[in-house]
Amino acid sequence: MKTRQEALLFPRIGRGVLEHLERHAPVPARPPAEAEAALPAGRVVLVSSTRAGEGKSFVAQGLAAALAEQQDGDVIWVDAAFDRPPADNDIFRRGAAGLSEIMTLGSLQGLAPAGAGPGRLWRIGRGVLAQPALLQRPGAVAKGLAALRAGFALVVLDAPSLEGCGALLAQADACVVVVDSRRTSRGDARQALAEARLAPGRLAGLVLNHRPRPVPRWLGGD
Amino acid sequence: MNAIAAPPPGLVAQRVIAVPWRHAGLIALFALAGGLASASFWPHPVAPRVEVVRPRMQAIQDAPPQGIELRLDQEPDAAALAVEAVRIAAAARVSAATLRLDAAAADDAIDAALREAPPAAGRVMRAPSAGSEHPRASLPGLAAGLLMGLLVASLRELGGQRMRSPREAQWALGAPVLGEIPTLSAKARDALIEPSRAA
Repeated sequence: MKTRQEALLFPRIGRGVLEHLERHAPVPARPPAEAEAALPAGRVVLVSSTRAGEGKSFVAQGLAAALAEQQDGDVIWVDAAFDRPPADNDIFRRGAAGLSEIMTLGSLQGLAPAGAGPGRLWRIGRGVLAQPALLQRPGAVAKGLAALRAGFALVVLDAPSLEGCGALLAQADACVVVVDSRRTSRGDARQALAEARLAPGRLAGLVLNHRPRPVPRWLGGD
Repeated sequence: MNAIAAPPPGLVAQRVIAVPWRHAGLIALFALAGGLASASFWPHPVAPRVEVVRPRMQAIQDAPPQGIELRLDQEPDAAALAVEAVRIAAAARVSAATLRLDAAAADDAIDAALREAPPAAGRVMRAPSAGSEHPRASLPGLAAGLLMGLLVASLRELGGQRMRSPREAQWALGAPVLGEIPTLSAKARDALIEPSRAA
């Protein structure tokens, strides 16, 4: 059972991401004839964190579900966290093709993303060829993202931590960084963001996970 | 990455306010533990004092009538001693003992003891209570525990470099905070990422 406040968590984050995309990566206006062609018009939202285990998969899944309800196009959640083993309950765990095959073949053909709900939300796993080194190859990353952009209005990447994102960072349109308020220090987070060298305008914002009990406004809180 | 500016006004105050707000349970726990420890380690020394009273009451019994006065008002724990003294006096039918119970005047136990067995011809001098000169044994521990709890809570809240509020995260990392997620149960997390059935 969701409380009203909890139910608004991801819609708020989704609105922030969409506003950021409108400002920094608007969908190019195209003539009607050209719009029919399957140009890679989709935008890529990368969800990462300064270190592993800060809740980025949870945020990525919630964000994808919220975005699917907040705009008209199809949204796909992609497991791009090649740096860790898949979760036990991952439906793509047993040998199914996924992002790594798209990055290798450059096409969605032959793949069947799983519908994750009655709306426009889809899911795809990492695939059997997933290796952390694959994310360091700009050509493979570009090929995979181009195929996803062509098929979906929004691609939400459940990415590794910032240091393992490799070429994903340079090619995503927006980056959401999850920070665990219980574990991550200011210094570590600053250093990770500095080393990531995100291009200006790529950092959509932060999500503060495991936020402690907030101080009420009448006491001077946020 | 933008250079980190000075903390915004109110951030430090917010963290200070958060100390009792977020750690009220911890502070209360320390105060309680301090109070209990204090009460356990520094109990009222009733039993030894009663033993002091017994020989003095014996002296009253052995003395000629109207010769000795036992002043309990100057004894710590006068109330407990007075009850014991009244009982001994009654049992021995001391007729001339004068019990001064000034500091123990308001003790119900003395009244009960006097009702049950008043000294045969004794004179009990009562005076308005001046209150106890000794605070209850748990109070110093309670205060010390409270201070210790505040200290520990302050260290937890103000120490380290963790980002504990959106304002602080925005200040520290120079990026807007899109959302904040409290610590949720696994069930609540599943409910949140489940796609809406209304779509």
